[in-house]
Amino acid sequence: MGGSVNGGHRVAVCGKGGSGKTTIAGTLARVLARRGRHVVAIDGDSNPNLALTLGLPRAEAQRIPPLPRDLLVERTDPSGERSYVLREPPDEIIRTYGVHTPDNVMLLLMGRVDHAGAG
Amino acid sequence: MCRTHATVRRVLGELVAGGDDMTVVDMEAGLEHLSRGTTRASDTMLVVAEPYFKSLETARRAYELAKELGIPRVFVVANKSRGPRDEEAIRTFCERNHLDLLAAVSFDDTVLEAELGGAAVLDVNAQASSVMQIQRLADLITAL
Repeated sequence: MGGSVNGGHRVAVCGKGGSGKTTIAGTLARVLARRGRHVVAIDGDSNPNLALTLGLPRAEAQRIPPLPRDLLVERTDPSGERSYVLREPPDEIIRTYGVHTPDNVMLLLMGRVDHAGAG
Repeated sequence: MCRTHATVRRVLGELVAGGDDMTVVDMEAGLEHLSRGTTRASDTMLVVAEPYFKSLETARRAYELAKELGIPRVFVVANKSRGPRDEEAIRTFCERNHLDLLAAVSFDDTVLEAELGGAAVLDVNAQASSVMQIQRLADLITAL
C-alpha cells in the first residue's frame, strides 16, 4: 500500500446528497475492519448518518456527541498569519471522542454545521 | 473558514501520525468542501456517481477539483447502476472526460430496505450484491 509516510491510508468519499456515498463509506470501513484492519471512520457530513451504516442502533447513533468546537485553537504566528491548530494530539482525540461501533470501526463525528459563529 | 471543515482537515491530516491503518471519511455532500480544501489531507478520493447526467457532471467537477488540490489518487465509483446500459453510460462518460473509474456498485433493493428500517445494509444481508461489490472495492483500495 502506498500513500502517506507511515503506511496509513486516508480515503475520502464524496458525492451528491443521495448518491449513496455514506453507504459506500460505511460499508467499506466495516469490510476493512472485518479483515483485521484498524479503521477510523470520520463523519464529515453536516447531516451525519454514518453511524447507522456502521451498525449502531438509531437511538445510540443520535446520542453521539460531535467533536467540540474548541478542539481547534486559533494561533497567530510571528508574521501575523493566523491558523487553527488542534488542542490535543489526534490519537488523544480518537481515544476521548471516538465511538466504538460493532465491527470495531472507531467513529468520529464532526458535527452538524451551525454557521452561527462558525466563520 | 468554517471551523467544522478546518477540524476535519486537521484531524484527517494528523490521524496517520496516530498510527491508524485506514481512515475513511464520509465527506460533506456537494463541492463546497473541495473548494475549501478540506479534503487536501486525503491520499485517495472516491467520487460516488449515479448513472444520470447531472450526477456524472457533478462527479466530473469534484474529480477535477480533487486533482487540482493535489490528492494523489482520485477515482469514480459508480453507484446504483441498474444494468449494462447504465454501466456503459458511466464508462463512456468517464472515458470521454478522462476520469478513472475504479468500481461499480449496482442498484440494490437491500440498501433501500436497510434505509427504511434505519439499519445498515451489511446487517440486513451480508451477502447482498452491493456488499459483495463493496468488498471488491475494498480489495482494490487495499491493493493501491
